[in-house]
Amino acid sequence: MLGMANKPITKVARANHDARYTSDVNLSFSSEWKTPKIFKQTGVAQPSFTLGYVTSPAGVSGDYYIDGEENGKRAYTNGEYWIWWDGVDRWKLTNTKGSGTVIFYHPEDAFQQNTPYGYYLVGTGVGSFSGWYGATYYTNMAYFSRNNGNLTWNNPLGYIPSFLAFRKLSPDTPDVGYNVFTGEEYTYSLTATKTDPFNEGVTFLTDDLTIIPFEGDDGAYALLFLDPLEGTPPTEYQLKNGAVYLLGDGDVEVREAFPYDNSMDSRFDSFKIFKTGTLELSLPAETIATSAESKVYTATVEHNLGYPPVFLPEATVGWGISTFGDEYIINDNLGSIRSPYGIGVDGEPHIDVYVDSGNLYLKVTRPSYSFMGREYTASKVIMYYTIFYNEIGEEFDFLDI
Amino acid sequence: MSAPPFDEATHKKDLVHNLGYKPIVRAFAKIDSYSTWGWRQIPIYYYDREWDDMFGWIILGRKIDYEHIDDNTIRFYAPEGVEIKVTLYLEPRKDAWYG
Repeated sequence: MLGMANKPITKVARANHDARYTSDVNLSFSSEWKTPKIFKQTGVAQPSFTLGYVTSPAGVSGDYYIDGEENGKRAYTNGEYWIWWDGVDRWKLTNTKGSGTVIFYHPEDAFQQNTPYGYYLVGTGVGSFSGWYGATYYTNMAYFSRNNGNLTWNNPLGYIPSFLAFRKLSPDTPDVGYNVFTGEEYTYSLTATKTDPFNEGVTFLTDDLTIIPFEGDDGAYALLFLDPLEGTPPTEYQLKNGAVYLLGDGDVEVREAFPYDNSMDSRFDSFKIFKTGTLELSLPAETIATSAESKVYTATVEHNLGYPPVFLPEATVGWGISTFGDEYIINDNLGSIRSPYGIGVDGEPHIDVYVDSGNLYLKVTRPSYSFMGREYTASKVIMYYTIFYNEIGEEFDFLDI
Repeated sequence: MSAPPFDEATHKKDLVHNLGYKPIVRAFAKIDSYSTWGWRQIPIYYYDREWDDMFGWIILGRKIDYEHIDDNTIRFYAPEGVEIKVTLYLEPRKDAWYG
């Protein structure tokens, strides 16, 4: 058996560096490393919604889909009936978008909600009766809920692989305090920002992959690596297709090795760097007036790839930060991501990092107090970003090659 | 009833990498609670429950997270017995790739 000292090593240096003498950070590749091997991307792309618990009229129940807007909020239809915002204080259910006889309406707190989810009461009071202690009961009530079409992928690997997870944000995405999302924004899916996830997000609940989009989101996506989380990859792998570039790691026969054990394997996707740089926000010392709207600071970088790219650092939206200090480096604090203790007046400052088909965004939101002016000290927020050519939401499966 | 607070983790473990800077961390924990289970990317907050002879089932807020305590060490925090799997990526900083 050959000793490790005889192992041939391939190193490729970045521009202006000599691979023989430079440190690892200045190499673009070394056969002593394992490059990420992405074998599959998949996800849930379209949300749907269900209206249930209804006894009449016929045809009002069932699945509803987004179809345009009404009075500035999304409208939903099952092809026969519509749920739409009246622009004042009601989500209404009628047989015509924006008009018609109201069959159901959302209860009184509807004006606080950007979405129509929850219980609907009969609009005319017909079908209700009074019970004990004067309480009103309804014989015909509607319930509108999200049904994101959860996804399960049957994993044939024989072990549980590692993954990255993304959210597709929407105008219905809660918890960021302002309505900035159009349905074309993406961020990392981290349950650290969900205090009660109940298995929302991307996970291996069993040996198989499960994707359940977060409440309010338009979708969720997984990017799967050959790296094992649990179990052991096979020791041999029969190459099914030629014309590939393989680079082994040590004494392993590259054509028989399981691809995870190779340094490089062109049968699988890897991360391809498009652009790196620094985003910086200089937050001033300031006092935000009592009960004023939150101040939002934004830094963006254009990529113009025309699709939402995978990026680093692995940050997300709705990331609560009690204090930024003089300088706060996003990349160094990803292990502490959590949701803010509140949004808006009397809430906590928070960070939002997300990407769309044109830009990568870094935002910091500073809320006010309801009882006094809220003072903030000057802070610098820094994010060292990497944008990859890889597309969030692309579907492929390279296992069967 | 409001949700319980998230307890400080009872156990910690240091991962010494000696890279001299803070690398990219991708870490997962295997969770087994009544509300959340399976392999989850961390940091994560979730609910667990324990039997108490006086009060019956009580709900507990749990968290698993990590921090770079310096340029060579990452400290992970979790309840006892949680399995954590970590992958580190080289991340050149200001003087390397980043412009």
